[in-house]
Parts: sequence; structure tokens; C-alpha cells
Amino acid sequence: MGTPPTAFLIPVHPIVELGFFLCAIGLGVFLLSPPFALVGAGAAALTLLLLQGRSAGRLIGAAVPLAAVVALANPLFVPLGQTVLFTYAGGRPYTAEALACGAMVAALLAAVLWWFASFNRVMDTVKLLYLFGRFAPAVSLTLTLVLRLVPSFGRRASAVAEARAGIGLGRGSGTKVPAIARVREATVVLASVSAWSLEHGMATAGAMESRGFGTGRRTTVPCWSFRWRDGAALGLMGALAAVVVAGAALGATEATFFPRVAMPAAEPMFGASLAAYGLLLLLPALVMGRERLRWHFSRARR
Amino acid sequence: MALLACEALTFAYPGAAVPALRGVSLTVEPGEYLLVVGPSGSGKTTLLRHLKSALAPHGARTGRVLFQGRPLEEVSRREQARRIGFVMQNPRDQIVADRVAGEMAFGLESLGCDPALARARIAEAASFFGLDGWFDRATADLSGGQCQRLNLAAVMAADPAVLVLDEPTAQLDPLAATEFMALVRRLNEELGVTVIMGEQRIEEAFASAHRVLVLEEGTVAACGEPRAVAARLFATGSPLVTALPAPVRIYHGVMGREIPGAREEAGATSAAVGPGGRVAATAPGPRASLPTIGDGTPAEDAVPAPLTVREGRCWLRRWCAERGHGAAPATPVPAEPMGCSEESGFTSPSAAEPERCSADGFGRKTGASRSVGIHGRDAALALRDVWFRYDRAGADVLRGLSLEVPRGSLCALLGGNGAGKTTLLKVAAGLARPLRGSVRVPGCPGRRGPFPGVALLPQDPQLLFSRSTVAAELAEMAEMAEMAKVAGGNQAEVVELCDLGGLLERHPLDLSGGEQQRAALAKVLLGSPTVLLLDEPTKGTDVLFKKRFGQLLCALTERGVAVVMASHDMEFCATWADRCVLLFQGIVSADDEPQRFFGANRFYTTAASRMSRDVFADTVTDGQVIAACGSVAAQGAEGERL
Repeated sequence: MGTPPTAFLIPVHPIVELGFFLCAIGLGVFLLSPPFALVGAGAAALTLLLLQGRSAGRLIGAAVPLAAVVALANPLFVPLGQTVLFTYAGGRPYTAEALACGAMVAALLAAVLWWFASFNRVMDTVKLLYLFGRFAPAVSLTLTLVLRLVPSFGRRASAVAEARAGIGLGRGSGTKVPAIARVREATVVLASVSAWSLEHGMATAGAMESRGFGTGRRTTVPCWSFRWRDGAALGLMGALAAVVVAGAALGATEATFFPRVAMPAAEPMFGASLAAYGLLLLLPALVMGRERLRWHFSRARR
Repeated sequence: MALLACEALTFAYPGAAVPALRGVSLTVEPGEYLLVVGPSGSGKTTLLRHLKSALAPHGARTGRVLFQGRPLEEVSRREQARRIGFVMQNPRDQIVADRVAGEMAFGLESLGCDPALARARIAEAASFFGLDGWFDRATADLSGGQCQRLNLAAVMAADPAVLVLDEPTAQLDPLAATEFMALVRRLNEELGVTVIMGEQRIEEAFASAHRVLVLEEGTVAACGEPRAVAARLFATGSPLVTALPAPVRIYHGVMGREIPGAREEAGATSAAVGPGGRVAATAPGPRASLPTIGDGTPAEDAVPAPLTVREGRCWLRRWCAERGHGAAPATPVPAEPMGCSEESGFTSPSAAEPERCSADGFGRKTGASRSVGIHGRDAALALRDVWFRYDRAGADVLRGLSLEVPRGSLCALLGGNGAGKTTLLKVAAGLARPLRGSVRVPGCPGRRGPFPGVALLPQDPQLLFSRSTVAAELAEMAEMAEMAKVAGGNQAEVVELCDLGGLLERHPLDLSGGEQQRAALAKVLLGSPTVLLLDEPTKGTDVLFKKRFGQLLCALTERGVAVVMASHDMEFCATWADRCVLLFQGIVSADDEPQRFFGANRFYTTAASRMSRDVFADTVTDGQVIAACGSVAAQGAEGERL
């Protein structure tokens, strides 16, 4: 299905979007501290919700039980920690510290999952090819063709299978089809699809050549232009990320769980890097929220 | 200087006994619109592909192709890519990028166009061709018509001097095809783009083209102004006349019948077209080729031969008025067997070829027998109150549709895109289960599909091919029929019926469109279905095939097979169907026998009906109009004698 390419509601250069996801996912997996993990998961969920609306609810909901299983199972494998909640299986301790550690890992996992969902939604193949295509235009064109081929292969295969069922071949005519017959049918469908794709490929090659492909120097027509706003966004993200990285280098983002949960909460760098991290991750959400408000009020005024 | 020229072009594919092109010469001046017609296999595609080196087929070639006076080989590939635009038949095969925007940019990028200029060109072309509404869509989600429009826009963005189109509408539905033709016409008229188009569907293009070139077996059979070419084709009794627009056929049918000597005379005047059609410019004008009445006065001196429905209507009204036939739509239409109706106009009985006589052996049921017992016979397929939708949240495609198809009838399903025709066929074949309602196939056990006695021939016959020869395709089906213990159709008989004798060892994908359709049909028939469902069987096929296909369907219905055919081809339905059903918004909104169905329609009807409806009642095929004119002439003559 063709969802229209979604930007962060305002058109920004794809490099800004890519930069954001690199920061969010890259920093996220290294900041092993409960407050950071919580901020990450919260920001990821909020961003996804703002991007996809109601349909994001299902994805967010699906990750919660997964995270819960990870969190609850961690103490079963890690018997360390001071605060024993209960013992089981002949005195094996189930500790609060291990549970906290599990919860943090679960939050990290959920955050990464949700960031990738947003990434998928925002960064379609066109943007990725545009970003990486300038290094290798021929490779990127091949990649486009291949990426287009894969879903068309699937569509063709199901059309062939349906057409064959329509004249009584293949599946369908019997209620119970033996596995061997099914494999045979699949190979027939595959043969049909590959013959078709060869034909199709020849025609496409002809069309490409006819339109001047391979006749000399090639240019790229960019769909986006880099504006000052994009530069500012990149600069702001870089500054915030630098603060977080500095905090991490000074040990402010570390946490120990065993024998008891401890964080350098008192240090000034802790607060600064947590705030910077939160602001960084919430940037798209803030932008989208501001756009919504702006739209709301502009309509209300009318 | 001519923009493009071929000089005595002869070409043979490797290993072919007969050359595909023989001494073809043509010149195209800037701003001209040249229409290339001919049956499939006549060399249209081969000729058009020679006009661009990147697409020229490999084989033995003599003669030259000149672009602006230079041999094409001396024009660089890049210049050719920029100056000669080419649009091919299959809309999806030509698309390279995954987004519309990327597709528009592809050609310009390949030509090394400056990005800023390219962006302006893309914006301009996208606006002209009306792509704005779906500019950011994925190309995979576009309809066939949108794809072809995108291909045209992308080619035109490079600003070519000449646009070559090879059957661009063969894969489109008629509405999209008409839109596409209008676009091409606009390009020619408003922008002065030189257009060379090969087409089967020439209803619209015939009137807008400046010149028509007729290819027959690789040679130029005629070339010149449309009216002159039409006159010449009729004069020589070419089978290609059935491909001409209905007004042209009716005009020549009526005139040819009226004056028996006209054919020879017209032949003599247009014989000026020399061998190879080189003397295009000196081809006889429309006036010269008009038939003359016995005493030498030119017939219809003020009205030229009609090309469009509008002109045809004017001409017919005038013709009838001159013979004292008013605008009373109460003329009884002579009952006439429909199968031979096409010939009745221009072929005198003595000239009927043996091929046609044998074809008439299959013949259509006459008007008398067809009206008997459409509802009296037992149903082969019955749909009752069928509701269907594809998505839970989607709109209903079928909304309480009921349809009963008796044994041995040929039922045509008509209707616009999205009216539910294909969906109805899928439901009838048991490939899609209705949400509500029932589908019954008497004689088939069970109520759930796929039903063994029902076969669906899909719109794209290639979907049914998976082997390397036609014979292997048929063997696969025969084996299945044997296993399922169906009384499998006799293979030799089916091969003969579908006329596949010479094609058995060919690869199915190497066959032409019409041949593929026949091979797929043969495969379907080996399962000996009692109900045959066809989805757009005449799309992209030429008139000669259509006639044979219609006869084949009749032969099947005579054996008791019920045929349900979804089609946009109103001429075909009017000629061959027993019954026409109009689907609209998922229900049957009109259901009648073709003559009354099309006679009652105003917009959705055949060109013959649109042309003749203010002088005759219920004349829907050109044969009927010509016959009605014949009776008017006879009455007029009688009146004079009295």
C-alpha cells in the first residue's frame, strides 16, 4: 500500500531526519540507566503516536507485554541483589534489583522498537536512496529496481496462483492437498513468475536505454534542498548530543544495579545530560506539537 | 527537410523465412501526425522500433532511416534519447523508479540535465499532463491509465522533436485509452509535436491523424489522408476495413451497396498510390475517390466522407432526407443474421470468400432463435443477492447482485471501471466468497468454490502460462482433467477450435496478444467447463482476431457452454452477445438483449447506434445500419417507380 511519504509534518531535509534517528537509536542503546531508558521509551512512544495517530496504539500495545516478559524474567536468570522479594525453587532469590535491571533493558528494547517503527514511517526508500545515492548512483538505481521487483514478484505470484485456481489447477479443487502437490504447484508458479520477470526486465531495460540511460554523464535531480532551518536543526541536535556524550564520558549516565541500585544523581552533569537527552528526543514531538497548535489556532481564527 | 524518413527499409528477424518489413518508405514532416495501422504481425512494431537505434531489433537490414537528413546511426545515442521520444505498449514495463517524481526525473537525469532546469521541466510537464494529484505516489499503486500517462509525461519532459508510440492504449480500458488519445492529440495540436503512432484502436486517432499508413505483411498497402486511405481499403476489399471507425464503415457500406460499380471506380482512382506507398503526397484526395453515380454526377458532392460520429450523423440524416426518410425512429429493422452483418455492406454475394462461408457455418443465432427462451432454459450459473467487499472497512463492491445465466448463452457484462465486473467474475468462479448471498452452479457438488465446472480466463492470459511450449501448457491441463476425472475436452479438437496447429512448439510468451488469448482459452477449454468466464478477452487484439474469437464463442455456446464476458468493447458485445448486462455500483442496472440494450442507451452504446439513432430505431451494429439504409433506398426506388 502506498502511504504518502511522511516527514515530521514540516518538510525537513532527509539528512536531518536521518541524523535524528542515528542520535536517538545510537545514544539509546548505550545509556544504560533507568531514567534515560524511561525518557527514551516515553519519547519514542510519543513520537510514534504523533506520527501514526491511532494506528500506532496497536504497535505500542504489542510491545508492552513483550517488555513485561523481559522485565519479569530477568530476575529468574540473575539471582543477584540485596532486596529479596521472595524465594522460589528451593531458596533461589527473586530480587528487586534484578527486576529493575530487567525493566530498564525492557524499556530500551521497546524504545528501539518504536524508534524503528517511526524510522520506517519517515525514511522511505526514496529518501534513503537520495542520501546514499550520491556516493554510488548506479548502485542506488539498481537498488531501486530490485526493491521494486520484490513486491511486484509477490503480487505476480499471487495473481498466478489465483488464475490457476480459477481454471481448476493447483490448490482449490481438492479439500486436502498433499504436501508434494503443494510444492509442485509452488515451483510451477515460480517458473511462471520468473519467465514473466525476464520478459518484463527486457522491456524495462529497453525503456531505460531508450530514455538515455548509459549514454554519458548522469545528474541527480534532488527532491529536497538544504535550508538554514535544516542547518539549525542539525546544529541543535549536535549540541544536545554532545552534552549527553560528555555526561556519559564523565560517568553521569551510569547506573549500578548490584548489590543495590545506585545512580550519580547528585552530580550536575547527571541533570544536564538527562535534560539534554530528553530535549533531543522530544524535538520531533515538539515540532509536530507546535505545528498542530499552529494549525489549530489558524483554523480557529478563520 | 523531412524530420524522419525511411528509405526502402527491409528487415528480417534472424531465422525468419519471410522478412518482417519489405521496402518500406515513408517521410514524416515536422508537426505531422502519422497513424500506422495494420493487423497484428504486420510489422507495425518492427517499423516503429527502427526509428530509434536503442530499440531497433537485431536482424538483417537493408535501406536507411534518416533523422533530419542524417542516417540514424550517425546520430548519437544521447541525441536520439533526447530528440526521439518512444512510448511502448505495456505501461508498467517502462517504469523504472518507485515514485512518480523519480520516474519523471529519470530521463532528464540520464541525459545529464542541469538539476534546476530539470526541476522546472518536471513541474511543467507534470502540470500539463495532470500528474499533480498523484505526484508523490508510489508507481506500483498507479492504474494502467495513470502509468501510461506518466510514461508519456516522462518522455515529453525531455522535449523530443518526435514522439513515437507503439500501441500505447492496447493494455488500457477504453476510458483511459480515450483520455490518452486526447492527450496525444493535444500534444500534436497545441504544441506541434510530431507524432507517429501505431495502433489497433483507431476510433479516435483516425480522425485526428493527418496521414494514415497501412501496413500489410510488412509492406505499405496504402498511405495518405485518412479519407483516401479508407476509400482505397474499401476499393481493394481489404479485410482491414473492419478496423476502421464505424462511421467510415457505414458510409462505405451504404455507398458501396448503392452503386455496384463504385468499387471498381474507386479502385481505379486510388490506384495512384504506387508500390511501397512512396507517393504519399500524391495520394488521391477524398473528393477524387468518392464513388460516382451512373450518370457521372458526383455523389454527396458537398458532404465529404464522414470520419467521426458527428460527421456521420450529419451525413446519415442528409442521406435519409434525400430519400424521403424522415427522422421517424420507427423503421422496422430487417431481421438479419448478425454474424454476416459486417460483410453485407461491401461484399457482393459472389465475392464472398470461401473462408467467410465456412465461418458462417459457426454463425450467429438469428434474431428469432435468440429471443426464444433466454429465461426458459435451465441456469448454468445463478447468483442470488450477492454482497462482496475486499476489506472489512472497505466499500461494498457488489451490493445485492442477482444474475442467472442459462446454458448456451453468451452474456456480456458492461460497465465502467470499478463497477464490479471483475469482482463478479471472481465471485462466480468461487475465487472470492460472497459476504452474503449465494452462488450456485447446478451440477457442481458443494456450494463453495472454486467450482469444478467453472473456469475463469483472466484479463492477462500470461498468468496461465508456466511452461516452455504451448503443447506443454495443454498437456498440463489435460493431465489435471484426467486426474480430476472430468470428461476432459479432446485435445486435438480444442487445438483445432482455437486454431493453435502451427503454434504448439512455440514459447507461450513469444506469441502475439491474440495468439496468447487463444492459447489460454485452449488451456481453459481442456477442463471442459460448463460455465466460461472471460475478463476483457478482446483487449489489445485486432479486428480479425475479434471476429474469429466471436465465432469461437458462438461455437461453444452451441455446445451448451454458458459464457459470461466482462468487456468494455461495445461493438464486440453488440455483435456477438445474446444479452448485455450493465453493472453500476455493484448491481445490475440494465439487462436486455443487445439490440434493445444499446438502442435504449444514449451514452453507453456503440458508435453505430450513436450515429444512427435519430433516423433509425435500435440499429446498433454497422450491419444493421447498412441494412436499414438499404431498405430506405429500396422504398425510395419503389416510390419513384410508382
